[in-house]
Amino acid sequence: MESLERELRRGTLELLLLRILADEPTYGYELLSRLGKRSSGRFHIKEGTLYPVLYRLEDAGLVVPEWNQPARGAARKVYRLTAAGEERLVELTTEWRGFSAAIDTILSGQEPEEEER
Amino acid sequence: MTTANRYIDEVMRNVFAAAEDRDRLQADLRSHFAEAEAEGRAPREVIEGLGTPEEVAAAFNAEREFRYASFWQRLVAFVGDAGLLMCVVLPVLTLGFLAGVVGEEPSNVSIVWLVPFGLLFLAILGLGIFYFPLLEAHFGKTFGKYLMRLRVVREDGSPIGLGASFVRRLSFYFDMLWVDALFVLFTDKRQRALDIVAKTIVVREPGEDTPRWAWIVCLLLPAAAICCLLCLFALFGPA
Repeated sequence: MESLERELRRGTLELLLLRILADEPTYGYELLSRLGKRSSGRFHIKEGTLYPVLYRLEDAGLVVPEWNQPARGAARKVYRLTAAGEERLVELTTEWRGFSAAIDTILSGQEPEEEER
Repeated sequence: MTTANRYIDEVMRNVFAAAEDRDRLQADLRSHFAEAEAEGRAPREVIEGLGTPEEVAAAFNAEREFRYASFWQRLVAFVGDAGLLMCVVLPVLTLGFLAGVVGEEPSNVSIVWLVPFGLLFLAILGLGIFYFPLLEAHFGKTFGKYLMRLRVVREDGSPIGLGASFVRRLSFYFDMLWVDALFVLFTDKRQRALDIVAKTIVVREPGEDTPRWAWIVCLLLPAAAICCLLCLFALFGPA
């Protein structure tokens, strides 16, 4: 079943990164370790492989990097969600909810209720 | 920071992308280490979390779209390389001929000429064998590919090693290059048959296009070699 998990992870990564960034602008390192923590380890994949996903979001205009100057030390790069990113997050969340509800229905072995068409 | 720097260098060595994309990843990896260090995590621990340099680079490369070099670009790059080699080989052969070494029975040749020319001919043989694979393994490109802005990489975008560079050159050694090269016209990734065996691809440098003058220079190099030869004959040849 490992491959199903990997496929699911790959398909939902963008959604999850967008969701975590929706809380507040986040450093790359923080973003990735939060993803690991909040998924209780299930998303503890190699952090280095997540940067390319972040770049995909950046190139699509869903997140923007900003430089944050802390009181001491070097400037740090913070990723912030854009308006387009927020829209995409709502879209993907709706899509995921519908999808997972459909899967649950199938797995429960029941016919879908009539009122839901 | 040396462990971190070594790790980042190793990632960047395996990354195949335009300069700005490389810089972005490099900057992010640097601050990744800095932030982790601020939280008191040891570099080794951070690397554990990031994954091996090859994994990180492969994930990054997987997002790139390779622009495969066309048959004509590769052919002209090869003409450039052949021209460059001819510029070395033809003058040596010409001088050998004029000195009475080439085309003579070795027993008829004076020892004064035989030794230096013997060494030169060995050097030429070495050049023929090692020119392509050594340059491709070390720089990812030969002189002709450099002019045409092409590069040989593994199918995942990482640099090729000596093994792969010799394997993809086998058809050249056995004089089957032309048959092998025709595969470029029909394969999805524009590969020669031996590219498929060696799991290599020839791609255009990211963010760069072949300059128009490169086509001309590559095509003129063999002509330059022949000019060299003619000049030598004119200068030193029998009146």
